[in-house]
Amino acid sequence: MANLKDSILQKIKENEVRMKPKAYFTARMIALAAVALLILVLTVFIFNFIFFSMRVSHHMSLMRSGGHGFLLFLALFPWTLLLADVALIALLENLLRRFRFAYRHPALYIFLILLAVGISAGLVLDRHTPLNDHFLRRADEHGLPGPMNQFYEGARRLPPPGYRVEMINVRP
Amino acid sequence: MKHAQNAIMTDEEAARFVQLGEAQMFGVLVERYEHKLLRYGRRFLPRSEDIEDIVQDVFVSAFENIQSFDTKERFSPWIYRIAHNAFINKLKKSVRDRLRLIDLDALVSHPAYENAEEAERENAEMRKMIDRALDRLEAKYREVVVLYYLEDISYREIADILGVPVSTVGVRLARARAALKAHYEDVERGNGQS
Repeated sequence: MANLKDSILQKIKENEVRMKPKAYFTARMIALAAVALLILVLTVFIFNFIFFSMRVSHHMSLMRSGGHGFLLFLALFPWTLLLADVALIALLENLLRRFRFAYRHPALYIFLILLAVGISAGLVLDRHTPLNDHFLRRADEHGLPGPMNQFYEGARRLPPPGYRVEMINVRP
Repeated sequence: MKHAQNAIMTDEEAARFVQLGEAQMFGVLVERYEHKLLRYGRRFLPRSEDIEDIVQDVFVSAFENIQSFDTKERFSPWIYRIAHNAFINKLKKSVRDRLRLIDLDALVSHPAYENAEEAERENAEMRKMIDRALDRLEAKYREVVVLYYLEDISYREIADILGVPVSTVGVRLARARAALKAHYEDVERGNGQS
């Protein structure tokens, strides 16, 4: 290479190489933060919906019904939503790697923190706000926009065909 | 006179001038980092023949993105990070030296510390081993060895360049040292027997 410095300065002078404006990087950072926030909100909402689905379908009571109840609980658990949520957290963790506060800590810790935040916020949203009950009422009246209506109508998960649950009250 | 002024100017000050529109000042940064980045590239990508082209692309990318550089930070890790990404992209094209998608070293925390006394003692011995066996190391170990032993960059700055925790730098260096020592001892044993 004859002279790297002259070659680069020549390219700059001839406008072959142009400096991107500061506004470009600010906009990119804002967009990145907005996408990260959106993913976090979606993650919390899905966890909240999982808790709501279990609450409204009384699935937690299956855990107290012995081995068969536990198997039924597993069968009825919304695994697809949970997997989608874990994938979203992995995506969020990957986005945050661009920031020093994230890459300076081990990836697994950041992932677990995000998981804990998602689960806790989802639980709080379901148990301490009227959001889900309000949405369910609206869904029953077909008052939610298309996909949200179907989403909330599907919150009450029934046992699959072939499953039979017998609740026996045993008094001492 | 102007040359003397440029010589006492810090990298960050030069970068600030470039950000303010004095594009000629970018020449100062090219002069200061050209040889360092070529050396880093030659050691990191020993089989590559187009390192000079990659380094030119690194400077072009640095100029295009200089407005994203925070002049309150150090310039050196910033430009090394651009170079690192360019070299990694080059490595990704090579089937033999492909980097793993999930890096277990960066997944959990490991204890890491820099011991100046120990480092001093090991440095001469390490340089000898590095000369002989650097290209036998996996890429992720080779890069920390090059940055720490040959470019004299601290753990913290290497962590910023690679975008990994400081503890990961420590664990990679320890593994690289062990691998180099093992290889060196094998070679020495072989020479002793012949």
